[in-house]
Amino acid sequence: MIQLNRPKVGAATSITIVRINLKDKFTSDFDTANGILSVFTSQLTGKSQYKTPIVNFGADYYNNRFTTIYFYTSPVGSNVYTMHMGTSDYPLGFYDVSIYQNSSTSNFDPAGLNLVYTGLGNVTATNAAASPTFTEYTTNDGDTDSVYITLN
Amino acid sequence: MTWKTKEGSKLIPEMPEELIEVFKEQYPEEFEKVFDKI
Repeated sequence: MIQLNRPKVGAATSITIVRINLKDKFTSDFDTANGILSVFTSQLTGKSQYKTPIVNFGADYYNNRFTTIYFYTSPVGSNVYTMHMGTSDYPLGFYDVSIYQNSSTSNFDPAGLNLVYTGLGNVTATNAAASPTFTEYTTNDGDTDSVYITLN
Repeated sequence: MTWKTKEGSKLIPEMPEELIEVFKEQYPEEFEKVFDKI
């Protein structure tokens, strides 16, 4: 599972580094200069973010077997690299993740692209970026006011 | 641009400078593997 972290508003964009062995998934004619296309689809809303994340195709990672992907997440805005998370359209929680070998770094349409990875993503929030804090009711609460309703 | 990718790294697309700084702060060890100062 790809675990992404959504920073609080006002904090810097958050990075998650993911290394996946995609060497045998790319087609032999894949030009790595075209990069990859990632699609994160919220399981709650069904809405998708299409991004061209920054990828390291360098040979230094475990004998060239792993592709390193830098997923950037932000609470306030997005661009072609950065996903905007923690919104009504893209809430915290589970995402279906698809990664394609892209046809160019400016393409955001997965139609016809070679699918190289499918998996699950989970977006969580940093401290102070999560839901409001609250105190739960206790079962031994002595302050039990009764409300009587009179029907007319 | 004050940083360049090290030989052996191939970033696609090129990482914008503002994201490089975030990268440097959050993953300093990984950053040293990927970037050299110009």
